[in-house]
Amino acid sequence: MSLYKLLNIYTCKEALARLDDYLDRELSPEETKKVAQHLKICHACTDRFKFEAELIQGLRAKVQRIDLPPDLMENVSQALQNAGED
Amino acid sequence: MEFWEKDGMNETSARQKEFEALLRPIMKTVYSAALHYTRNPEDASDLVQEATLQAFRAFDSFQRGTNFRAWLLRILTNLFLNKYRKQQREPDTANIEDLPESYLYHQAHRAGLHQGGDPAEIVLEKLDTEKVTAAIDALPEEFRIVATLYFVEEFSYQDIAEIVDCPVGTVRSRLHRSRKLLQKALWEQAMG
Repeated sequence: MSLYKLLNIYTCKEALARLDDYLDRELSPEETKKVAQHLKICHACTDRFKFEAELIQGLRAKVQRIDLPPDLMENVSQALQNAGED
Repeated sequence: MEFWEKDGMNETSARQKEFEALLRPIMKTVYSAALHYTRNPEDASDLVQEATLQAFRAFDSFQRGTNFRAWLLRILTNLFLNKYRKQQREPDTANIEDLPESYLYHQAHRAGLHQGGDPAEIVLEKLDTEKVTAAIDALPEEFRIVATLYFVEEFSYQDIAEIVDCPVGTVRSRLHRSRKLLQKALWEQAMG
């Protein structure tokens, strides 16, 4: 029996299978705890989780920089006013 | 006497004021979503205008205190799927399953980026907004929609499921596959 099983901790394979859900906080509390326990003792998986977390954060920062067309809100506001007067 | 009567406002303009107060803070992200869906600024503006008008007309059905942004994005997404999507040749996705998990992580290590510092930071430095946008916009439509709602709007799986009207499991699967394709596209953009 592996050490992980003995200690009731996820193996690398089990932890990595839950990487996306862990980073997105979509795991149950029990699963979250087991992944966290694995990361405490596994440098390789921690490295990979850290990379993915930074990547998501960095990509979000970049895609959220799009500029709003200057007259869009005004056009919407006018359209809403016209709709309200109908 | 209603509050809008006291202020000399009529009911219609009070309703518009209430709607716009909810809309203005999120206008940028709503436009961003439309832009990723349509991949065209003119269509994106049209989509936003039409969706907000539709939402305004249905405003009485919006439950105050609930998630206005998710409610509006659902209207926007449905409108895009019913009216604005264009029949375009979609990239072949047959080989998604052959792509390894954490594609970018492995590519970055293969290229020795971890030796120069933080590999995620090094990869991100090679990607500007245009390159990331291009990578998302290159995704097939069903993946592009969930990727947009995930990266741009930062919705939960449950919220995304309600917006696109499919089970959470389907969202999870599409997001997982879109992230694989996206990582491959991002690596090509970063190294290109």
